[in-house]
Amino acid sequence: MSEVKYIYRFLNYLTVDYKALKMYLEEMALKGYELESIGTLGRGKFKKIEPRKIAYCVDLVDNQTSEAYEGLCEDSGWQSIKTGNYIRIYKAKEGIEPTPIHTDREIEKKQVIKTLLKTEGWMFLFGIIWLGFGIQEITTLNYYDLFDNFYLQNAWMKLALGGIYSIYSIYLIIFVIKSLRQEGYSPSLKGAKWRSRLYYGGALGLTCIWMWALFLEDMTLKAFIPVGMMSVVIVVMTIFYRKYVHEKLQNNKKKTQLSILYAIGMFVVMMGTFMISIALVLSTPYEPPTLEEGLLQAEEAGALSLKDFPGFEEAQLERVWMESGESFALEKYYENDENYEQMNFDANYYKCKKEKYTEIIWEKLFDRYSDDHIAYGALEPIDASLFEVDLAYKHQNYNELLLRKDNTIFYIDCEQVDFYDEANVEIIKNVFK
Amino acid sequence: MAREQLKTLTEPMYYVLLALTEERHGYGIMQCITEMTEGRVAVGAGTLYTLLGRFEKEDIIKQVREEDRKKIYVLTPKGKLLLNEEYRRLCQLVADGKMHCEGEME
Repeated sequence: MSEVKYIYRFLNYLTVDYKALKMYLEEMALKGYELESIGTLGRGKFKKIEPRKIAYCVDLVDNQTSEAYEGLCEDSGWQSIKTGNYIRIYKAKEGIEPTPIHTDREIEKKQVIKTLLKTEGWMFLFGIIWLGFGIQEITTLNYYDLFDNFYLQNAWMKLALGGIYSIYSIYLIIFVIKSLRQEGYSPSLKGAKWRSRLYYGGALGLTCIWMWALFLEDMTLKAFIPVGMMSVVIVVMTIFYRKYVHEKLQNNKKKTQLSILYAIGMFVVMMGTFMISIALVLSTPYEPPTLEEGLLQAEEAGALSLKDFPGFEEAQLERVWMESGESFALEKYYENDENYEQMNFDANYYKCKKEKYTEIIWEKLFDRYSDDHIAYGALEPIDASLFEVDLAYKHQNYNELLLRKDNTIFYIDCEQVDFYDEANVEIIKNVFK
Repeated sequence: MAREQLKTLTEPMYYVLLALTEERHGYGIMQCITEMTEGRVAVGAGTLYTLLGRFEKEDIIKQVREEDRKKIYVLTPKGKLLLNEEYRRLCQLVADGKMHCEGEME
């Protein structure tokens, strides 16, 4: 008794290449492999047979999900192998040479275009939107961003992604128009394989970029919660679907009702998870690093000279954070201690990699500390050379200093300290070294 | 717009309507057409299904009952009228052709 041999091949051809898939399956039959089923991720299971000619039909369906259609195909000699949402694969029953499922080119064309818009159509939309965003920011393009600061919201990145997707989808559109126009068009298998590789490679790349953006960019830790929850739900739902629903859907008579029910259920679960995760994110307070971590970061950023400042040891380190890996801020705040009457110590240190950020922070601080509306008073320029900085301001009414040198900003507010004292001037100078 | 499209019928459309002068289910229509044309015209399952959907929407055919999960259709009065019109048009085409072509052949 000889055992039945199986081989597996991935059959992830694009919708535009449905004819190539048909060709591939027929070639496999001539080589002695008959398609038996298609599993998860488009993995086709081929049975080893005596090489023979088998006719296949790859049908693109838009909304023909009714049993009547299935029955009609079955009656006319086509045995269904895969019933997907947009793509169906049929095999001619043994000993029958059935009429092709599509005998009218015009109807087939319409069907192909409709299905295409629903499957690969997103790419065109995505490309155009992203390209639009990129073009909007085209004036801010600079070489520095290209080499040193390459992240998702970068105009270069938007242009690159938008460009790649637009070009690829335009290529696909031209390809489809050409192949639909040409009577008896026979696609090249190699080309179809490459189109599919590009498509799935691109989709994978895009997912990686999104993940990278979510986890490593501005959102940092916060993104872990919703993305993690969504991922878990998607995995669980997929397993559940494959194990319990998929089979039933294929055999059940009330196919449509069950699938609607499933779709509603899926939607409810997804939305629920989404809402919960958003609520979780909103209610999770930002947790600053511990004092030790903050000090370590401060040391790495070269801001530790602050430690020498009077009152530092006693003060509470309120916040230390790294912003997008770009800026460094150290804020400490201290008040109402018995030993220090109304001791108030507030110091901010910002070290930015780019002038752009320095400008933003400088403007914000300047506005914050010179608010005339509440009779708070304004900042006045003082001699910058005293502290060896580029810009130096002191508050009219309070003992506050705002200094800037290159891309470093230092703000200090301490009523009890005389900033002009020689020793303190040295400490402040050290802050900028 | 759809009404416009059906002003003249394509060959498969014409034969589908011809087949539906009697009650028939999908596969019955396919078989009937093959018999009628001795295999010259074949209508595939996908094409037929789309055509039936379109005809039903335009009230040219109607579903009379369902047997064994198979929908059985027949022409509506409107469909009969359309088929008659088409028949007359085709007769006119043949008559016109006769006058010219036969003269030329002689």
